[in-house]
Amino acid sequence: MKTQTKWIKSLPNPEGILEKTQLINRRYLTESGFPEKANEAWRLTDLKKLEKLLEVPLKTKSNKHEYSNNIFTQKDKNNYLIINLGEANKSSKLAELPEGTNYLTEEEIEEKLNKLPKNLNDNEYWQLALNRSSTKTIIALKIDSKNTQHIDLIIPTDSEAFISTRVILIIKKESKVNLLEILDSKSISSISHSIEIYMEEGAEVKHGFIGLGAGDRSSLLNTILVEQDSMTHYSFTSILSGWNLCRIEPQIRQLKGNAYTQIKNLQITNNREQISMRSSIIFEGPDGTLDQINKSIANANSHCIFNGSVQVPRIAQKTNASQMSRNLLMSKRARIDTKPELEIIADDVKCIHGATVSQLQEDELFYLRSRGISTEQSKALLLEGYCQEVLDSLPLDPNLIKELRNILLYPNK
Amino acid sequence: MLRPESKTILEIQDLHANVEDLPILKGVNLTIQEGEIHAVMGRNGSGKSTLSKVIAGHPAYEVTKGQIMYLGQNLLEIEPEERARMGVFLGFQYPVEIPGVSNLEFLRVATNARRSNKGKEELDTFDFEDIVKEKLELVQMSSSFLERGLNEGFSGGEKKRNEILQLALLEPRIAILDETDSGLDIDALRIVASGVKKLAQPSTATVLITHYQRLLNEITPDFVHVMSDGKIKKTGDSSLALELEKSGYEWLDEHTVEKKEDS
Repeated sequence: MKTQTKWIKSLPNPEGILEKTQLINRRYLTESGFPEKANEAWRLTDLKKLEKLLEVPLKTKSNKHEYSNNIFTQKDKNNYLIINLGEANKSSKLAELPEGTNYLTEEEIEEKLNKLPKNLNDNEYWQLALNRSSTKTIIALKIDSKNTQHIDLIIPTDSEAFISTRVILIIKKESKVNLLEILDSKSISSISHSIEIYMEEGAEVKHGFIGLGAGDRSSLLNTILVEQDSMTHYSFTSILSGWNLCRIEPQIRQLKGNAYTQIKNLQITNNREQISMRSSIIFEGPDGTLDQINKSIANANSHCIFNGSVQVPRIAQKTNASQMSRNLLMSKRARIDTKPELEIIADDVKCIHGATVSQLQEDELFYLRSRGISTEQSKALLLEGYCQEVLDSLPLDPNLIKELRNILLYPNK
Repeated sequence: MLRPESKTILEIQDLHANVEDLPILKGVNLTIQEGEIHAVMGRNGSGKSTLSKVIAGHPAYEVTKGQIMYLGQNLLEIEPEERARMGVFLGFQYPVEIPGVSNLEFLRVATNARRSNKGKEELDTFDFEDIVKEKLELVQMSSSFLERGLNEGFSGGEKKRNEILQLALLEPRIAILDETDSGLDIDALRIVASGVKKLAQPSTATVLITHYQRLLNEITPDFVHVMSDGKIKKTGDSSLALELEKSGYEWLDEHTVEKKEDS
C-alpha cells in the first residue's frame, strides 16, 4: 500500500489531453488501494511481485528507451507500418501512414479515453487504472482499408523504469488489419500496456502479441479491450515468456453477437516466474463464436495461471463457444492453476470446455524413441509440436516463428 | 529361404514380462534368422503386442525373466532409441498422432539417427526430400503427407502406410509389424503387403503380428507361431495359419490339450 502511494506521488503532474484520464485513475487507485488476496481477481497473483513492479519510477523522458535490434519486426517487407511506441511524444505523429490509416483526431481520442470495459468489475479495474493513471503518450489510429494493413507495434522497454503505453485502434467497416505487438525486453523493467480495438461491422483483425521478458525482475501488465460489431472476425494470439510477473487480460465484447473470436495463448514460465492469463468474453447477441485455447508450460518452481470467463446471457442464443486449457507441468515443484468460468443463461447454445494438466505423454515419447530419436530430442520435438499450434496463428513470417520458437524453448542456446 | 549359413538375428529365451505387476508374457521362446518371415497369431490378450513392445523397449513393460539377444547383444540392456538405431523396427498397431511435429522433419531425424549407426553421413533437408519421395511411391502416398503433422488427422490406413514408409527409410535388420493389417481395406492391405514384401531382404527378417489370415494371403510366412496366455503354444508353417482360419482358435485349445495328454 505504501509503495503504491509513493508511486502515485512520484507521477508527473497531469497535463494535456490526458489530464482528466490521469486524474480519474489516480483517484481510483488511491481510493481502492493496493489489490488484496481476499479479492478473487487477485487471489493467485503474487502480490509481493506486484508491489515490486511499483518500486521503479515512471519513465518520463521518451528519448532513451531501448529498442535494440528487434528481430521480429518485419521491416524488410513492403507496406508494413512500424510504430515504435518508445518514440511517441504526446499525440505526436510517429510515422508516415499508409493510405487507409490515419491518426484519430483529438475529439475522437477524447471520446474513447475514459471508456470502460463492461465486463470488468470494479475489483478487476486496478490493472487498467494503473495504466491510465500513468500513460503520458498514446497511439491512436483508425484504419479504413479493404486491403489488409500490416502494423507492427514495438513496445519500448528500459532498465529500472516503469513504462506505460496505450494504443487505441478503430477498425472501420470491412477493413482488414494484421497487427503484431512486439515487446522484447532485454532488461529489467516494469511495463504497463493496454490496447483498445473497436471493430466496426465486417472488420477483420489478426492480432499477435509477443511478450518476451528478461526474467529476474521483469514485469508486465497487459490489458486488451476489444469491441466487436456483427460480422467481425477477431483473432488474438499471445506468446509470453520470461516474466517474473505477468498478467494478461483480454476483455472481449461481441456487441451484437454474430461474430467470430479466437484467443490462443502460450505461456512459458521458468525459475520462480508467474504468468496469468485472465480472459473474458461476453456475447451480447446471438450466433457468436468463440474458439479459445490456452497452453502453459511450467518449469522449475514457476506458476502458470489461466482464468477464462465466458458469459452467454439469455440474448445470446445459438452461441458456439469452445474453450480448451492444455497444460504441461514439467517439474514437481511447478504449479498450474486453470479455471474455466462459463456463465451460460441462454438455453440454445453449444459451449464446450476442457482442461488438462499433464506431463509429456509416455506413448508419444516412446513412439519417437522407437525411431532412434534420443529421449532429449524426443522431448524437444514434442514441446516444439505443443507450441506450434499457438505460434502458427501469429501474424508473423514462418521463419521468424521458427526463430521465436527456438528462443522460447532453448533460451540458453 | 533357409540357408545353412544364415545368421541368427533375434533369439528370445524364456521371456517373462509384466505390465503394472500383471504377468503378460510367461515364457516366450523364439529364434529368428535372417531371410525369414515369421507370423505371430493369437487371440486378443494372448501377449502378441506385448511381445513386440518388449522387443522395442517400451518402458511400461517390465521384463522379469529371460533374455532377448539381437545379433549377439543383450537387447534388454539397451535403450529403445539405441535398439532402433541398431536396426530393430516396430510398426505400431496404433501409431500416435503428434500435432505440430512435422512428418517430414520427424522422418528426417529418424532416418539420420539410423544412418549415423551405419556410419553414413547425415542428410540435409534437400537430400532427404529426394530419398523420401522415392520411398513414397512404394506405399503410394502423396507428398502432401510430408507437410502435415506426424500422423495428424491421418486415416487408419494412412497411418499404417506411414509406418511402412518409416520401415522403408530406416532399413532395419528386423521389422516387427504389429497388426499392420488391421483397419485396412483390401486395396490398402495390398499396398502395405507389397511394400513389406519388397523391403524384405535376404539379410533382414520380418515378424508379422496378426489376427487374420488375409495378410498372410499376400505375404507367405516361413513360420507361423500361435500365442496363447503369454506363450507360443504352437509353431508350424503357413498351413497352420490356414488351419486356424478354418477352425478358429478353439481348434488350437483342443489341439494343445491333446498335445499335453500325449506327452
